[in-house]
Amino acid sequence: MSQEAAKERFLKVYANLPLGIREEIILVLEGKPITWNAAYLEVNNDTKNAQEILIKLEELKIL
Amino acid sequence: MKQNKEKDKIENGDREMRELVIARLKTLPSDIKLSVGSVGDFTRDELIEHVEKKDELGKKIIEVQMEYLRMLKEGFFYERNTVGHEA
Amino acid sequence: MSGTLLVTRPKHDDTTHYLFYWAQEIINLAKGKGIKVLDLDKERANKNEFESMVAKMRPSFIFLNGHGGKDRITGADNKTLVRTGENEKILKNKLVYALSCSSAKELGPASIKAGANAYLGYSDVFIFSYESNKLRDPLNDRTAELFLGPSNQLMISILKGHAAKESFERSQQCFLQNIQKLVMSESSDLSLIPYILWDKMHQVCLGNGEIVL
Repeated sequence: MSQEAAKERFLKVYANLPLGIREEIILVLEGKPITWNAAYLEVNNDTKNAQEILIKLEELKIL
Repeated sequence: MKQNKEKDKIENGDREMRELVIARLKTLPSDIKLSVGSVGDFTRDELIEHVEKKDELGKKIIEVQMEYLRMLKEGFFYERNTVGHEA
Repeated sequence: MSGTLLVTRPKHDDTTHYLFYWAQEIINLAKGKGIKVLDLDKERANKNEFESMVAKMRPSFIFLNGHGGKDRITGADNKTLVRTGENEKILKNKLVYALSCSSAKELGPASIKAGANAYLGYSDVFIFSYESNKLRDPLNDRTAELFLGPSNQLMISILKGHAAKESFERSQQCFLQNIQKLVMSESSDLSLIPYILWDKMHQVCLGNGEIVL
C-alpha cells in the first residue's frame, strides 16, 4: 500500500473507533508505546514518524 | 543470504508483536487474574513473564491480543443487536 | 426430549471454583422450572458416575463445566469424562453445552457424527478474568460476570425453551453488549475486551440448531 493509501486507511479506521478505544496502545516505536491518538497526530500531520507508524501497522495487519 | 534476511524479518516481526503485547498487558489491572483454560490462572505480571519467555501460554496471549487488534478495523463494536438479553 | 438436565461441575482450582458457583445459578433456574437436575459436583464429576448417570437417567441436556482440550472434556482433578474415539457416543441424542476449552474443535464434531443433537462449546481456550479478592464470593464478581454472564445466558435461553441456535445468538449478543458496556464506561476495564471478544469469536453451535429442550 502506498503511504497515501495507508494514511487514508488509517484515518478511516481511526474515525470508526469508539472514543475510549483510541487511548489504547497499538504500537511500540523506539521502545515507547504509541496509542491510536498519538498515531493519529503523527499520521494526520505527515510527520517524520508517520511513515514508520503506517508501515508497522500494516506489517502487524492492524491496518 | 535471502533466507537469513527473511528469518531476520520474521524475528523482528515477532519481537515487535511481543513488545506491543507486553506494553498492552501492563494496562491490565493488577488485582485481577486471568483464567486461561487448562493452562492455569495468572496475574498480569505472570502473563508478561510468559510472553517474554515465548512459551505456549505467551504465544496464546499474543494470539488473543493480535486477533483483537486486527479485528478493530472491522468495526465489530457496531454489530447490530438483533436478539434481546434475557434476565 | 425428556427435559432432564445433567450438570458436571468439578471444583479443584480457581477456574473450576468459579464455574461451580456460576453453574449453581443454572441449576437453581432449572429446578425452578420443574426440570429434573442431575448434579455431578466436585468429586462426583468423574467418568464412572457420568457414564452411569447418562445410561441410567438418559438426560436430554448435558452441561459440562471444566477443563478440556480439542478432543476431550475433563472433570474432577482434570480426569477425562468424554474423549473422542472413546465414549463420544454417550452424547447421542443429547443437547450439549461444554463450558470448557477447545472441545468444539474435535470432540464437538465427533459427537455430532455419533448422533448428538447439538453441541455448543468453544473451539479454542475459554478465557475469563476474575477479581482475586472475590474467590469467596464468585457470584458477585462483576469482572467474571463479563465472561460467565454470556455463557450462562446460553443456558438460560435453552432452559426457557429457545432453540440451540437462537440461544447461541443470544449468548453472542450478550458478549457484544458487555464489550459495548466497557467501551462506554470510563474504567480501565477496556483491557478485558480482547478476552471477551476471543470467547465470543470461538463460541460455536454445531448440529441441529433448531433443537429445543
